Amino acid sequence: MLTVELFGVLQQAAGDRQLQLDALPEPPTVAAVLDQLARRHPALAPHLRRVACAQGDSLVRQDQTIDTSRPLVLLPPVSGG
Amino acid sequence: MSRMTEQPLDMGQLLRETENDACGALVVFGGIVRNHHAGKGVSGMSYSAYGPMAEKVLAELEQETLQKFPVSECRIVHRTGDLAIGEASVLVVVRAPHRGDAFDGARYAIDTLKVRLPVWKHDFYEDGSDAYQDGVPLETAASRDAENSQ
Repeated sequence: MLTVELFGVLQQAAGDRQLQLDALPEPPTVAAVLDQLARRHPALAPHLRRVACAQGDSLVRQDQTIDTSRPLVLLPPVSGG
Repeated sequence: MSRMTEQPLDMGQLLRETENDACGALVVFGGIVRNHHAGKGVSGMSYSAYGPMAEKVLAELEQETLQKFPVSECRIVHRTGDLAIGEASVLVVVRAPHRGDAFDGARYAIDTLKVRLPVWKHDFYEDGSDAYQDGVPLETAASRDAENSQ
């Protein structure tokens, strides 16, 4: 089971701050997680092409495999300042 | 002061923290919540952040600015939570021996913050509607490498 944390417009689209995903390949790549998310939560799909992903305080690339015991954080386009 | 904070930003404290007798120039950039966006009246704004990464990004950006420009001091703080019109959302303080370098360093710091800091603006409009501002995709090390190779 993987926890996916959402920020910004993704929270609004999903109606929640986090989601749980199961039945992922082990270990999954970030790209595989995003693919599953798009299929299971169609409201997120239009936004996923522009997200960056992180675990802890580090970004993870889409071709990286991830440790599913740690949340995957989805970061939509940013608007700080 | 933490770099990411829900408390009102304290410019006086930043100025005290960066005092440096070798610097003849001080540049402060402040980002302020304004009362309009995309042609609509704004009544307030809420800033959210991915905290663990945001604090690290600002610390690294301060160091990067100090390394890239002949500046002696650089501090950046960003506010989160609900802000009213006229409140500061971000402060960048740069001190350097000379003004040109201080302007350049401060400009670099705020422009880079805009593409690297995981923070999101949520506008609340005077007509009762609200929306997250459409931002820019987060700049990653991979995207920087691709940009630099062009």
